[in-house]
This record gives sequence, structure tokens and C-alpha cells, in this order.
Amino acid sequence: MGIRVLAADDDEFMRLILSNLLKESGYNFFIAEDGLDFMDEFTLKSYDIILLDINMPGLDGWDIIGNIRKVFPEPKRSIPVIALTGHKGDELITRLKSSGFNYYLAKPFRRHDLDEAIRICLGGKDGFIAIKSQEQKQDSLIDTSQLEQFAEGDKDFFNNIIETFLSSAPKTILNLRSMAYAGDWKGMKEETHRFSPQLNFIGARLIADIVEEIEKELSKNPAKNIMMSLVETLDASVAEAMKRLILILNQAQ
Amino acid sequence: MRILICEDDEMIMKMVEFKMIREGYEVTVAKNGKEAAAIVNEQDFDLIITDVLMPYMTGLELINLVREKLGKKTPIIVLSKIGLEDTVLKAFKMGADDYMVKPFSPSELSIRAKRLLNK
Repeated sequence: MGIRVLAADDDEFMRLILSNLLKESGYNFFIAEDGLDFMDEFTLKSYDIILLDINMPGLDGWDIIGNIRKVFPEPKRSIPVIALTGHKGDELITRLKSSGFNYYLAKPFRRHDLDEAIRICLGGKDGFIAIKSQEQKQDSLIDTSQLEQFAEGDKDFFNNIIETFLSSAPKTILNLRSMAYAGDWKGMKEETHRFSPQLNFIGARLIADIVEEIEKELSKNPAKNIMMSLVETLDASVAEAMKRLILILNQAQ
Repeated sequence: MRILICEDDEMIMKMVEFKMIREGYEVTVAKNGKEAAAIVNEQDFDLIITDVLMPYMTGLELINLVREKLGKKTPIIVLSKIGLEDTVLKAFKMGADDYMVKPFSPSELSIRAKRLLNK
């Protein structure tokens, strides 16, 4: 059973984009056209997470979050809700937090941002804190200064390490993906155990953190959908890291 | 068709109000029992939707006013919440026609309203 996402946006174009993003990521989803449609769907069916446009005519995002957090009994009352906003700003963020939203996505956002927000909010974390600290870490996606020091000016050694990572990482991800799908937690433990030192070697701290989180999940009877979404996030980060490593290699030659 | 909505919870009120307007009804709202009493004393409606717990005057007192003092047969839907089953029973005894437990879907309320209005 996949993750069930209930979304609401009055803009047809946004609904089309949302539906493509959610389909690509493999979620089960329904997108309501306005606040009233949303309330029908939310009241009558069960979902895991909500994506809510703030500005809608009639019943808007503020009305809906108030309704969810005050009128509904558990477990619906504490379902994670991510706001979809047209703009950012400290004032807006403060109001989102105090109204009971778990996080927000400013339009336009990429699939990776959406997946990340859903994953973090489903993990029971406060997206406002968790994602902010990740954004700050974004610069440390790849930091090869340690590897340079280690290579002591040996360019071939430096390039060799990076090339080795570039050829092995996609296989590792592929293995993790099929193991997560098959529920092979033992295999995943071995695979992540092998992967961690490689990541530290090339200075991929952010990715090492994601792997650490996967290992933490693996140690406590993990849910398949959470594991799948973690591997998905890992995949996206590794892909981005590989792009940067290729740039570094090209610059070195 | 004219509908009176009496509800002190702003969010429920907004949801019911928008739904009924979208269904094409002429909507009047009252934020508490006292306001509702003043309105029903002067105007006639095709349907009354009322919360049972409101400041100044409860939904039950409003039903009593409409049925006993004013002698009107206006259909009444009561909005209740879990744990107020005995109050709902009282409301039925006093002449309420239907009830909804919060949280409810706006479409279900609309279907129940339509049924009472077509009688």
C-alpha cells in the first residue's frame, strides 16, 4: 500500500503539475478543486498526508487547517499538512506555524522538494526545523577538500577515487532500491554499511546523513513505504552529487 | 429557498454557509442563539440549520421557540458532536427533523437539506 496524499488547489494548471509530480513519485492521491470538495474527501476517506493551497476562493487553506486541528478527532486531527504558497516571507511562515501547518512549499517547487517535504513530515518531524537545517547543509553536498588532503597532490589517485565512486554508486542505489522493494532489510543493512565510508571519503556529508537515517530506520522494524521514500531521496541526492563530481573531474583534467 | 444557519464556531459556519450558497440557497447567518431568536421572530425560512451548543441560547431553546411559541413547522437540522447523543434525542422529541455529527462532509449536509426542502 502506497502513501495516500490528499491535495487541494483551485488553479487548474497547478493541479496538473501536482498530479504529474505525485504520479511520478508513485503516491496514491486525490486533488480537490476547492475547499468544499476537499472537506468532503477528507471527512469521508483516509489519507496519510495533505498538501493544501492557501489561497482558494470560499473555504481557504486557513479555514481548512483550523477545521482539521480543532473540529476533527484523532487520528485525522494530527495528520501532517504541508501548505502550498505563492510566496515566502517570515510573516507568512510564522502564521503557517502557529496555524498548525507542518511545513510549506513555495511555488514553483521541484519533485525533489515535494518528496523531501512529504518524507520529513511523514517521519513525524517538524519540517520547519528539519528542512531548514538541511538547506544550510546543501553546500556540503560534496566537499572534496578532505580527499585532496588525503591524496597529497596525487591527481591520479584523487581522480581514481572519484571515478570509482561514480561507477559503483549507481549499482549501490539500484541494489538498495530492489532490496527496499523486496523488504530485504538485512541486505540493506549490509549495503548501507558498505556505502557509508565511501560517502565520507568523497566528502558527501548530506548523503551520509540520509544513509544514517536509513540505518536508523532499519534498526527498528521499518515501514516499506517510508523506506522506499528514503531510498528515493537518497537516489536524488546521489544523482546530484554525481553531477558535481563529474564537473570536478572535468576541471581536474 | 431561504436557509437560516445558527452556529457559533466560525469554521463550521463558513463551511456550511459556502456550501449552501453554492447550492443556490439564500442564506442568513446567526452567530449565537440570541441573534437567531431575533431573526426567527421576524422572518420565515424554508430550513433552519442550528448548532446545539451556542452561547446565550442553546439550539434546544431555539427549537422550542420555533415549534412552541411561534408554532412554525420549518424543517430543522441540528448540528451536534460526539458525546451529545442525549441532547440530540431531546432535540428530536422537541421537533427537530434531522441531525449531523461534527465533523461532517458538506455534501452530506447538503443532501439532507435538499431532502427536507423537497418534502
